[in-house]
Amino acid sequence: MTTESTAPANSLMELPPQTSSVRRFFRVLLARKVVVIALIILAATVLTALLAPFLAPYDPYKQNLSHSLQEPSSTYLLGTDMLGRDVLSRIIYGSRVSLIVGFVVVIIAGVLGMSIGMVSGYFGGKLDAVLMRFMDAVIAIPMIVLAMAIGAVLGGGIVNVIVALGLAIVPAYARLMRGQVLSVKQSDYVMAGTITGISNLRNMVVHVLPNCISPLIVLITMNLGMAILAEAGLSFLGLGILPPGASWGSMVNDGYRYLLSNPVLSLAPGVAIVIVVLSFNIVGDALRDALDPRLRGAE
Amino acid sequence: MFTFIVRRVIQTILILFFVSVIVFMIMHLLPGDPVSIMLGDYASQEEIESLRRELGLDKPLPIQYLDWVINVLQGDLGKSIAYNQSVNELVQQRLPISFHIGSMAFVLAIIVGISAGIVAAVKRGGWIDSLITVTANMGMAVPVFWLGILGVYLFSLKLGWLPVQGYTSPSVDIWKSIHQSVMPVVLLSLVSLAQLARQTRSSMLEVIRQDYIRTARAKGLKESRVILRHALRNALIPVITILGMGLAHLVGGSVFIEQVFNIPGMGRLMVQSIFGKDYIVVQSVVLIVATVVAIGNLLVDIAYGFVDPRIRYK
Amino acid sequence: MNHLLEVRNLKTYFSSDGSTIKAVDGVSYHIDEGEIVAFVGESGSGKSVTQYSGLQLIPTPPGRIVDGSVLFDGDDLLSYKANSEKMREVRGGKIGVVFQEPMTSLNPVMTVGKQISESVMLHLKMNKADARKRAIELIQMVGIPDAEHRVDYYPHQFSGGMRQRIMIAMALSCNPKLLIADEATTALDVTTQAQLLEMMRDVVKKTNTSLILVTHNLGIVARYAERIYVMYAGGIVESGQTKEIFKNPKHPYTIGLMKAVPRLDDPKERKLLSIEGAPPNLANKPAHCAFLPRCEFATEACSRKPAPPLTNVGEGHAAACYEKIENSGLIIGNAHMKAAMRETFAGVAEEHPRQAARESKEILLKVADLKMYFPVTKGLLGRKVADIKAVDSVSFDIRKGETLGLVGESGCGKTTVARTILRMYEPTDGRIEFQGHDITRMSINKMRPLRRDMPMIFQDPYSSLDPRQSVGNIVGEPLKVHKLVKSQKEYEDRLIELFEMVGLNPSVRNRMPHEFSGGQRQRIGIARALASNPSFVVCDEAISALDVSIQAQIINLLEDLQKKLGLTYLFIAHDLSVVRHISDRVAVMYLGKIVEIADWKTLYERPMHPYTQMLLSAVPIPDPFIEETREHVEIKGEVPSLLNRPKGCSFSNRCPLATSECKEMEPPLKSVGLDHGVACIKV
Repeated sequence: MTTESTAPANSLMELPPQTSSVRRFFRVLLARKVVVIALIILAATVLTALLAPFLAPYDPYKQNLSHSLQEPSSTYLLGTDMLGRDVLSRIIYGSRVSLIVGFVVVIIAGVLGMSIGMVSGYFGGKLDAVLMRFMDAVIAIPMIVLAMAIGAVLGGGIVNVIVALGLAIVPAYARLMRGQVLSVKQSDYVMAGTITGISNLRNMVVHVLPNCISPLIVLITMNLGMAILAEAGLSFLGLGILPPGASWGSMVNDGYRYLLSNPVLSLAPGVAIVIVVLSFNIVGDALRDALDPRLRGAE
Repeated sequence: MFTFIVRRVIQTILILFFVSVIVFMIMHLLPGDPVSIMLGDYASQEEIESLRRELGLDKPLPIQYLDWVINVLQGDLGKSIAYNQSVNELVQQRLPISFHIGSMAFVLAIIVGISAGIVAAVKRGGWIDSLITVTANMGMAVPVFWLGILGVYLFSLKLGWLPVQGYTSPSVDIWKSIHQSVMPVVLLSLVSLAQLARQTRSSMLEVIRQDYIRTARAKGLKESRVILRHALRNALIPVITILGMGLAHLVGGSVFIEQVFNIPGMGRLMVQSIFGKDYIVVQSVVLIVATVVAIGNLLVDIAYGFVDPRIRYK
Repeated sequence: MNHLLEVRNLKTYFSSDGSTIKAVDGVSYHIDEGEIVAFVGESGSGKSVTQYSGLQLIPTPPGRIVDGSVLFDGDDLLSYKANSEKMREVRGGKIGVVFQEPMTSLNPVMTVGKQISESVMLHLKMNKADARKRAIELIQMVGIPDAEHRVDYYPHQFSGGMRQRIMIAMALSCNPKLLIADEATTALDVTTQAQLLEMMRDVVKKTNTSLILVTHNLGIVARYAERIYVMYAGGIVESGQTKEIFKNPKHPYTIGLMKAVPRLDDPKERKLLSIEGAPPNLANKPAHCAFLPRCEFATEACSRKPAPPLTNVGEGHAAACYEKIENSGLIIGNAHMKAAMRETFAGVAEEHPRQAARESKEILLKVADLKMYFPVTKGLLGRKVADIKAVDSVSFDIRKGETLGLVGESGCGKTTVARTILRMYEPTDGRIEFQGHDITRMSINKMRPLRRDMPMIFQDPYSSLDPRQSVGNIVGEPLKVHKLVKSQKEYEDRLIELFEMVGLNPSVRNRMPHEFSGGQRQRIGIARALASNPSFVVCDEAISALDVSIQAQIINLLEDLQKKLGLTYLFIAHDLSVVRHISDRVAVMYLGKIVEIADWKTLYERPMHPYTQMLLSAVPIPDPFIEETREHVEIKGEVPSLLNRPKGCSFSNRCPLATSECKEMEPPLKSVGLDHGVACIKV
């Protein structure tokens, strides 16, 4: 009794309808209302930053000393600061600083860190050992302290803040990427590549890299929030964005003196920070769930 | 186990070496001339040259590095221009203060954070879980300095319960010390607390899914015993590994807390030195801070070695 | 009549992604005191969920017990709340469970002694000291030496087989009335499996404990079980006495399973009759018989009627089928042996011509004295203290068109041999010649063109395909890398050809790996291996991770492809029946050495090396009549770790023939017949 072992029609019949993993991804991502709200907030923030000149009621840098330290009113929705500048407009413009710093820092650190991590993980050996100890050293210096030190020498200003923060978070990416590469390297499909005869470079780029990306996406999102917090902190200390620049952090610092009389000056920018960072974190968490391979497909 | 500890110690020494290189590079390789900045705009060329020679800044960089390292290892951290004291003295005054606030915050973060994480995991999906998760998320999104200011606004200015600022050593006046340190300690602990709660929760959830938990239940054990005796110890292992990171956050956060509450600790020293262009102090503070964190990480790793028998008995 | 355990109409469903998976859909059975009963089925049959439902060990967010009663000693367990004292008394106290995965089923941070004592203190109300004594007793009883010290060891300090023994000890610690072994030996070596099953049987017979064996292995069922329940798609499709079911299976699935399973005593040319298709999606169960799409006895009427109930077809024998199947086409028991012997006599005449034929074929792969050692470093400076001799002087050759089967248990080195031959490592010593080229130390660049001819098919269908590439890209990569096609059209044509060759519809080539089942993924892996039109293929446990009914499909596919394309195989596996079926020659490895090598017939029918004999004896044959009369070689000890090799002959500490001479020298592979090598000084 022989059986034809090739049965094209049969094998296809058991295939489930094509579940687009993209569709599934979005389904998990948007499952909770909070996540949707957070995404909307982020979109709104980006729009605010882009359209700041059109949204802000006043020029954020224009001083108007006769109107200084006014309480929130219908003319100045959040009041004015010690130099008569409209607080609301400054907060709107402050979103630019925060988002620019956040994105640029994360992109630079990400690219740099991932490259280091990839090389370290794929090739291993002494190179890996040395690179990782170096990364450990950078991590041992708390991010703020490191950024302060770099900032101290370079001076303030947005570019230096970006450089300082960027260098400080490179190790996080490097370590995560390296960990991912190490675990992906063990997979059979990477070995299959070597057995087929593909070059190391092709294996790294085509097979290893795409499979390492998921946790890094989550890290990037979380780091956006962290970078914004760090920039605010530096500006608060006077080491970040210099006056007359409108950064949420420096606004908190400026307003501290007037806490009893005009608490809005210090508290309002902080609320803005919390909302944006919280949104990034919530989206980051949701991304982690959506990208979890256990929830994806038949794995 | 012994080799494990020794290996970690050697790694830490290597890390500290790299730290010193990094600190040195930052201070000396970035653009800007520290000497002329230190002396101000009105210094003459001779004064600049003489200070430069005195500080040894005219020697080649590797020699400067070696000199510095040798000095540090002998306990000489240099002299502060602004305070006209040796850095050692400054550190001796300030480090214990930061340590006091920091360690109390650390303990608070561990106790409250881990407990909250356990409760959230066990009561997953319930209102307590949501509350804890949301609070933890918020805790990680809030800037420490703003939280300090908010705290001052609410508890000092509006309610008058706690003082606006200041620090007193417990040996001088313990009640005043506690009164003054409540807000700084609690606020400082919040970020690490939030992190620990989240990590503990996710770690517990991960562990509860494991096969050996199913085995424990199949033995007929009470659920409380399954959680506390079987799940918890395993869940804490990854949490311990991030304690080191929490330590770094604490140290970083203390910069802001000391600034807001005017506490004369290491963080405030660093800020003041930066503004005062007192670079020698800045250099030393960063080095000390990094050393504290690195040693903290080493201790955490050793603790991890004790808790996980797979490391203990190879 | 009062059964120890009686389950009536049990229904357990799981909610997932909006749909309801009917994992157990109306199952009824009973167990009596002292019985050994087997639950047979493949993945998705519901055999495990059935057992856990009664114990309320099902995670209740996604799962829920929708209906049914589970009467244990008279009380309905489902009437207890999941974590109530009564339920917990039963769990561990009256019913013990041994789970499948020894590596993850024990708490890694607690000593094994404490884990056993915990149970005993809870159910038998012993104090700490007595509990510890009992733990030591139990550890001894399950065959672990040096129990007094080992009681304080942590799980990671034991091997897989030993951990499973500890699980068994734990499950038996409170003298339960029923022991459930859920695929308890699936993850273990053949000899360890045999030892543990023998031990379990001895213990339960001595204590009159009932035993439920949940397994997919028909051999185990034939050797140990008194009664069987066959499960498919959440329901029992056949039940009865073991011998009766094997002799007269009445359900098409049971028949299909038996035809699909290769046996150690099969006639060689017996083609495995695979069950086409795959198990149904339990979220979308059809109203008619669940087995219908795959059933060779199905009639038109079957599709119109609802799912058939279990009906009596003989004494104590029930089957859920509308058709009365008289002639299943199976040959069991003595009739089977006669058929096999007929084959043997017919084959004898061919033996010599076959040998002559062998000599005339060219040698494709020649391995001489191959050694692959991995250094063990200790201490801070990483000083080398020892070598793990994964492969220790292995020699063989493979001729064009042959299939060489390489078998052995864990640590024997068969996978390392494959990887070394494929130059994943550089050998420590020895020589590898492929198609006449000496590739022992060839550089990566020189190897590249040769790699077209030596692909590998991997064991794990889930990790051998890049989850981020379309399956078309995966299969086509060799074509791109070796520049085997000159245009996009040629590429597409070749892809279509390859997909059809392995039985997949070419239109699926743009889909992603996760959309396919395990068996389909293995087909994709095979297509990838064949893309570069190789002459030689290494199959590294290519079917081990698949269900039995799917295994047969893939084995048949591999055999057909071999005939069609003139392929040469190196087939690595631990399932001796499968290896026998597909191989021309077989080599048995133990601790890095080949202990015996011969053509399949000689090796399986006249094995000379004591280890080969032990190994073959440990493999249960899915035929209770044959099993009854088989001689069993006693299996002593465990496979030692490669770091603790016995001196001299590595098998000497477990060998029935061993003498002091054996411990002095390592026996060389000597010739004892035509192309038959044995590494033993006692034969």
